[in-house]
Amino acid sequence: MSLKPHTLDPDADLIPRLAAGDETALSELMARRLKSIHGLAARLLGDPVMAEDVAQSVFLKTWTHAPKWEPGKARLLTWMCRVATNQCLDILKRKGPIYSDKVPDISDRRANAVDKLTADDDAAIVSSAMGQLPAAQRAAITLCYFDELSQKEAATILNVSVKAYESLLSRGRKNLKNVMLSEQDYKETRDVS
Amino acid sequence: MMLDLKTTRYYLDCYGTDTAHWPEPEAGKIALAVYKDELGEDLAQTERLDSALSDHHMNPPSDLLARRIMSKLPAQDGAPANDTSRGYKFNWRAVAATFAVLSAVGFTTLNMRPPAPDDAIAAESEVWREAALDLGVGDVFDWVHSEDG
Repeated sequence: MSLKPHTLDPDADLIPRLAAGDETALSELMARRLKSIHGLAARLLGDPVMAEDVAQSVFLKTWTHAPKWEPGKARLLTWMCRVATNQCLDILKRKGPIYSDKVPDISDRRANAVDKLTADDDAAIVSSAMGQLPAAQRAAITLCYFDELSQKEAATILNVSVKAYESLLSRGRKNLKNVMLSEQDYKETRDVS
Repeated sequence: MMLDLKTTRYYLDCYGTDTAHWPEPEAGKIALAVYKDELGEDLAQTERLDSALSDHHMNPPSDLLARRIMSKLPAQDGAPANDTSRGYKFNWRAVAATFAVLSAVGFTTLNMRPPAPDDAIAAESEVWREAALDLGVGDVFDWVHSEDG
């Protein structure tokens, strides 16, 4: 993946300093990127504490590999997002088959205490439903909301074509919409009875 | 170029209503305005989902995380030659230690003097005297030496 002129690396100024072992450069990089890398991992894992471990690992890898960095091949942030995403997907895989291709039906979710949430709180419903999505769909949606990545970069991070990335997005969003709508139906039915 | 309805619906399903995420943001913005009626309920549901996803916030990392990372910095891969890393300093220490040992050995060697000639004669004389005593002619030996003196 080579960089186009309009996608010049905004972190390019830090790379030579990181490569020379300048710790202040790493501090500057953390000031710029720690929050976003942590946010990406937290959304993917659904666990801010575990996301801290992932963010730590990403920055330590950036530091270790900085002397071997080849400028112009990819943006530093894209590489960091890729490392974070792969690590999160590994963690999700190790955690066991908690994700399936289907979003559980409404009765399953009620049993999982989602019922305690305010029914019209879409954000809480979507947040809970994100955790039920297959990992690849969840990663695609999370990367799409990561403002600084292009479609091509997000697809590269997931190691798929742009078409496949769009397919993951479309299926993931459809699943989330279905959960939101069935939750709304459930609420309306409950209110009537 | 104007997007057609089919492409607009496709991008809407994939990327949502924020056309900044679309492959063609400006064309997407125009298409959403143009096809607003045709997209109808789909557009409303997508807006609702986007709003929910935007509100899906996570707690920020703790203030200690940055400090924790800085305290765990490992050695870098393929550090450049001008780097003053641990290994480079160690070599200088080894060279300095070798130089110090060689200096100490040299100094000691230079300060070791051969025995003075008088000392050598006295030592030899003592050996002969002991031999004379063993043979029972110590008096003769002493007399000869006192005559030499």
